[in-house]
Amino acid sequence: MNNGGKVRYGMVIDLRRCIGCHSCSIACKSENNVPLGVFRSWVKQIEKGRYPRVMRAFLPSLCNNCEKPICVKNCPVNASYQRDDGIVMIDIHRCIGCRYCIASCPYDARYLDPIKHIVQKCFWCYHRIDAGLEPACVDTCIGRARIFGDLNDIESEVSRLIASNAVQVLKPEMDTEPRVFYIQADIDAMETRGGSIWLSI
Amino acid sequence: MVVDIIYNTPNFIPIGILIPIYFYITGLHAGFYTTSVMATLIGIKEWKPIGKIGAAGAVIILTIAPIFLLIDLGRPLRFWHLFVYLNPTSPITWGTFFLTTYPIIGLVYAWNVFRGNQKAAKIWGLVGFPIAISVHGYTGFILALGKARVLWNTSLNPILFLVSAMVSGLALIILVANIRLRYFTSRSTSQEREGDKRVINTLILYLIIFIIVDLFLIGSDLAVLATHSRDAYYSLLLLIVGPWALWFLGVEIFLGEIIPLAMLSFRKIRLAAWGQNIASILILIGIFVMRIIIVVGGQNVPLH
Repeated sequence: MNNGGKVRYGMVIDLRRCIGCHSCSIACKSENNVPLGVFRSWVKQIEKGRYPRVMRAFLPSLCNNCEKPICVKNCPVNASYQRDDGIVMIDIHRCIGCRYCIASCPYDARYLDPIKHIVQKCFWCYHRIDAGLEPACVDTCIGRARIFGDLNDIESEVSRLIASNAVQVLKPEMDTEPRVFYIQADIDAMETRGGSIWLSI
Repeated sequence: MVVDIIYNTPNFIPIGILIPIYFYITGLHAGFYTTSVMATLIGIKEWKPIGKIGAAGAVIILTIAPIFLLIDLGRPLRFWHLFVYLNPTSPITWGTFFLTTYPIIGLVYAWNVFRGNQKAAKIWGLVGFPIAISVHGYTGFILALGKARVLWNTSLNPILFLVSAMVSGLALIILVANIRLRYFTSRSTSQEREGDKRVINTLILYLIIFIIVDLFLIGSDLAVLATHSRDAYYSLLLLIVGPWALWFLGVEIFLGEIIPLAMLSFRKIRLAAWGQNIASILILIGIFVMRIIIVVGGQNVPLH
């Protein structure tokens, strides 16, 4: 029940249910014809602790379609714009491929399409949403870990989950107000840890 | 807590080497133009050659610079979108504005300098000065407003870029002036050559001041990076003990700034042409590496 106001889409990812199968990643690739080597949605997997006290944590990531997107602010030709329902879109005929938005996104959500040479990202399958379906990753998740809906509707499942659970977002200090909320996300999975490629942390 | 990353997607570096080259070239341009306007404003006859070198160099450099921008775009033929679709909050839009308004002013200024119209040159020089500085200053803002990258998102970046632009611009002008003095002044009197030498020595003093300011700004940047945030600390380690350490400490700081500063503090070397030229070449290399480190190295800290 939305009080006649605007729809604002959001997503909740319940990590109590995620098993790290990467089906969401594959479904996204398949649905959107994402080229090899780049990802619209991916699952980061870490292992922490020492046996016998160990745990595997997963962090499925995608574009957060933030409330205050830096990418929209920084695009020189207004190719990145935000729809009324909150989804940040890219006008594929206007993008010049300067990649400033990729450099500005704190979540690494964007990529340069190696075939079309413009910038692309996850659009929450707007083509499916506009047809009344759910995004491909939400539809496919076998653990029903991804929930999608209208954040302005207080009776939608996303609103109910956010209201009754402790939720986190990625990098709140960036003041982008992301709209993908995680339940029980592990802090060690959320931290970048400097990549750990050359420094043992 | 032992944490192993089992799976993660690779860290994609969107901005390659062409953009630092563009930043470097516009930096040289800012240095050239500023020195030329200063020479024109001083107005004494012995500063005229520097005024001419600076004005001509600025025009030449700014004709070359946009080519690097063009070939770096994913869709170069869509570059005209930058002129038609504007986003007032994006620094690249500001840059498009500066890059289009500057060439005419720069050309008129250079024409006046070479024709000897002192008064017109002074007026056009001052009119073009803020735009010429902005042609390089906006690149500092491109980085500073890239909020996601911690090495970029510091308020020091615009002024750091302008100061390094002055350092590299002065170094190149001194190099060009020394070459001109050595090979192209066969028709000048020995008095004129003395005058040229004096001017170059004054420029060396300005160069030393700007190097010290540059070192101070880099030092403040590093000092705040050490305590700012976790990603900032990793950026600092990347520069000091990580893969970029050799380039940062070895080339940019040591070869590019410390050695020239040490060389130029000895009077005998400071006044000798070979000393000035070697110091200038080292500085030019150092500032170029600095641009690469900030732009490319700043993207080496993963965001996910």
